[in-house]
Amino acid sequence: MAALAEKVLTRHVGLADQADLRAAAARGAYQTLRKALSTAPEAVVESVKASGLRGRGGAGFPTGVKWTFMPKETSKPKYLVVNADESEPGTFKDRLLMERDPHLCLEGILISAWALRASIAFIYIRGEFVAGWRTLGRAIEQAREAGLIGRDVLGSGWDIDVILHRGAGAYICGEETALMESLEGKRGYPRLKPPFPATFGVYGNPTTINNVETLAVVPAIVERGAEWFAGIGREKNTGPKLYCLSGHVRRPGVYETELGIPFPALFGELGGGPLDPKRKLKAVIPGGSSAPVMTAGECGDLLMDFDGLAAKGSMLGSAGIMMMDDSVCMVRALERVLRFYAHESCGQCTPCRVGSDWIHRIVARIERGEGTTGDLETLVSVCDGMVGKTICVFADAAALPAKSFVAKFRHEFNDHISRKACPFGAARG
Amino acid sequence: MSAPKVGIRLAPAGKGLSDETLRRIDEAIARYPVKQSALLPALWLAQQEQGYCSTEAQEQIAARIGVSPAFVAGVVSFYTMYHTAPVGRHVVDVCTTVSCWLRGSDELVRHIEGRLGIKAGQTTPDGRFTLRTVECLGSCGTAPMCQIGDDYHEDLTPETMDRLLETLR
Amino acid sequence: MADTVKLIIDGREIEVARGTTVLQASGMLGLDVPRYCYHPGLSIAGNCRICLVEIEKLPKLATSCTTQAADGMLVRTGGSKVEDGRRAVMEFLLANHPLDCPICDQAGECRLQEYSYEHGQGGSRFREEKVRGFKNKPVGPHVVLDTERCIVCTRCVRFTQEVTGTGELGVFQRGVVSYIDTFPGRELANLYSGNTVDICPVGALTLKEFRFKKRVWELRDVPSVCGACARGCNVHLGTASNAIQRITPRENQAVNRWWMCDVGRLSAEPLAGAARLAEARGRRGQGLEPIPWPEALDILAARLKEARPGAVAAIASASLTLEDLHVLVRLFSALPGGRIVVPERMEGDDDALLIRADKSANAAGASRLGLEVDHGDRALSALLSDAGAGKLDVLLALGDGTPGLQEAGRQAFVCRFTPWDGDGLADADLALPAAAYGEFDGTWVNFQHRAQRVRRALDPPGIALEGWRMLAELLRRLGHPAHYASAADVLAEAAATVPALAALRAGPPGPQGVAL
Repeated sequence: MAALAEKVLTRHVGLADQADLRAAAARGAYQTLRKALSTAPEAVVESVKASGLRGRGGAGFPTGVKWTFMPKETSKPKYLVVNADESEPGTFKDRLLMERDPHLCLEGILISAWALRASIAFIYIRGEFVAGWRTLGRAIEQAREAGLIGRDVLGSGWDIDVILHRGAGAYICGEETALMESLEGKRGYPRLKPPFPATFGVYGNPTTINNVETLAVVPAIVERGAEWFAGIGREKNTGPKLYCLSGHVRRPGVYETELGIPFPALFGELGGGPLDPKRKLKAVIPGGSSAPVMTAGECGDLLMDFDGLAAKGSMLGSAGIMMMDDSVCMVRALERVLRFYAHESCGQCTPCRVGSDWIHRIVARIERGEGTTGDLETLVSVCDGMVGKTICVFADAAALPAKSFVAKFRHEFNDHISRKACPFGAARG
Repeated sequence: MSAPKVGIRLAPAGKGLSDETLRRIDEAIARYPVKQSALLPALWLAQQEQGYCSTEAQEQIAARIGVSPAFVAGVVSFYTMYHTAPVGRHVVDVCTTVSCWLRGSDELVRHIEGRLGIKAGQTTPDGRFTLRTVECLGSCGTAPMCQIGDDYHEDLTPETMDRLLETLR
Repeated sequence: MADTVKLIIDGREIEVARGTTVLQASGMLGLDVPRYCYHPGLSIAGNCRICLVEIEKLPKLATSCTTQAADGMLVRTGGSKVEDGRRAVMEFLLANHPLDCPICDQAGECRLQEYSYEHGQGGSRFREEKVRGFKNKPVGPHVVLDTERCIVCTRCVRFTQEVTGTGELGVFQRGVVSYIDTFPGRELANLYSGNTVDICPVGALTLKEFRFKKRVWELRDVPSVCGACARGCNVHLGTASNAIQRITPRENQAVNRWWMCDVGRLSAEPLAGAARLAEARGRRGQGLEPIPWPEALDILAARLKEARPGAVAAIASASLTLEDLHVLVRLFSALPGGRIVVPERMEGDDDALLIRADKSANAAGASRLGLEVDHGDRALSALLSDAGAGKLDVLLALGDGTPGLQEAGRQAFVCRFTPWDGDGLADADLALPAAAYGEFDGTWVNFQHRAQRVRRALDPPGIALEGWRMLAELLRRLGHPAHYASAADVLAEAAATVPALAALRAGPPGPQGVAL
């Protein structure tokens, strides 16, 4: 396990003028783009492949491999879509990059678009991120004026347009095909797959979609080399990573460190430990609310990377890590998680449309003290009825955490049912 | 908690969009390879002018984009940030999802409700504030927080919330 | 790449065209994989999830409507894994459903009801309060919406987007409160709105004109053809109490695919209340009075015999059947110098979907019998002018859409063959009661020159008869053999003697018609 020697993604986020092109350029912004444009696009793809970079949006799919899915011979225009719809509860890292270092994001986008020979890069930013939208919008205009976007970028002969597209409030638009539907001016319904975006993406044209953090780290790979990147972290889990700490932690925030940092180091050293020193950590949601919950006991030797969390039956997801201390009612916590999914289900598929709402209402009823024997069995069985039966994985993202809460904190659910009340009381319960 | 109910709140007849907004919608249309992509931007422009997306505006946009009004209304009602009826001058969206809840968003909502004399989902009689509880706004490290209009307000306490509300006229 | 693929479904091998879905391939094997959102005439939505099947090597169940058949694919449409999956989906579909089958028009032909019987699990585990929607909302002149019964399969929405291109319906909101509706203040008012009711797999969309009229299991289904225009959409006549209770489209890919227009769908409505001529009537002074039917035919036969050569004419509707027109042609070939005019009935324009400007059901049939349709009313004007000049002795008017003959009737004897009583008889010296739509068997030839069978579903009132029966009686009274037991006999004779109808020599057209 190799540690991260210096910050890569967040090196400049604390600087007040970093969103300005001149200031950013003075600190080296777009130098790597110049370098990339002088090499073949394939060289960038190979480098990203060799780095082992895995997507930072949630699924952790190898980015370089994804890029090779784009058709080589095609008369259709190719697109890069930037997924800036950061909406997974507990996640706020892309927002930091877009608001504080938009030119780093843009440089990564442009290099990646070059690698893909894309003619348009669409940035789909969630509607609530008005500050990020404005900052990125200004950065795009500055870059356009500087000849970094548009026709014949830096004399390379390559034309690229960047279109910033603002969402309007829908978590599901973070799902890549729902995002494309939304970008096309429709309800954000995930598409049937196949066909996959690489062959049939935006407007039916070949499209690659990547997360902001994923693209923002590409300049570092091109600049420092794949070997440098692959040397950080451990095999198949390489590179620098942004972790979002929230909930019952003393110093919540975004932390850049090597992928695979052990949980105790992340929580204790970087996060400063529990918010209330008198309280004990009870549970951790390790990868955004779609990730199955972990008990504190399971986190002792946990490596916070894709494979480390998968080995423990959860996932790194978007690296939104929510800490819960022993004051938390886990039934109420699940109610909050499920309320989110009931609210955000797009409603397209039957099992998710009805199931997301149903499981939320069962848990809300148990939390109110109106649960009865058999509710937990129904809850788990309804979850099973949702899993694997829908167009996208949203239903799984609601059902699997629900099952994990019941499995790991069953006694709290049973207490609610037998006492016909929340044992934690009204204040926090 | 009562069962969910379908239906969207609709305003009585409003008015159409100004020529300036329509011009900007046409500009938005021109930015995209395919016209329909400008639907969300057009609705943002409509809401910017009217404070919500009136049925008249939706019909105008439908005609300009080349889709049916029902299609536009389906899109409008899919996204939580578009309003279909007039709202208060300041829409206070308090995040109440997991991280904010862990850091006291329920107490914050109760505090604001008491302060404004309305429940979440309501608008003050003077039309100054609409209070809503919303799902995760991606500001979990600075919880609890709220969005008012375009701006995020983070690390809120009852005291800082009060001061904030005071500044909004 | 080969154009076909071979796969095995439930142990049976089938070869299908590349691009065929597993659901379609299953259908070819006669397997009824349940479906709500899938409709062959619409784009694939894949949202209801009931058509789950098991495909070997796939970790999850797959929706058969979205999965293309592939070489070597092993599919199971049943078994415990599939049944469990479908049961789960059924439970979700029924969770918020009002289960108001006893008062639902769809009961008896509801896919939800059928599959819940087959795949459901009895009592519901859904203990929460059901999502409340709105009920009995007229969304257009003919269609009523109940969102509580709706399963948001979006068939109706896709129909208005893809088939009519009108887009009146949309899905509003999202998640469990998603619902179908029109834009505020706008209606589902296109000319094909009734099809949304047909394709609604549940009772969410019902037809205003059929609501609470009859339970569907009380209806007798008679496959027939619509007569509202020259398209001849294939239809089901749903009859009860000797009346057409509803008309719904019957699939015929060559003619109307799965659809029909609202005009045709509701064409039986005004007729049901119209006053019927149920007896023969003859003129006595200013009025018409009932006379025995044989006597009426005797009077008419006598008039025809007495008529001067060239002084007999008929105005025949192009919506009469081939059988009626054939016997009419035979009758007139026995009347020297007699002429038959077939008026044209054009209204509006052809539309892009089904509706034809020609409102006659059988204009192409008439022309195949050698009766040229009278474009621009030229022949009719000449006929009326001849009648006015006293050149005509007997004038027959057969069927709907013939003009008033008051002027012509001053000097000629006018006989009407019609189903309808009332003012339309004012010009007649003799009125013979004819069977109305739904009361006769016969053949129509649509504008594509496809012969199709229109069927008798009802008993005509009184002594009303098919036109060909009355005309055959006349022929016999004029001394010509005319022995037909049925419309099929007439058609057989026409097919044997008229070269343009040779394709019908094998017999009356089958359920999908015959291209001539």
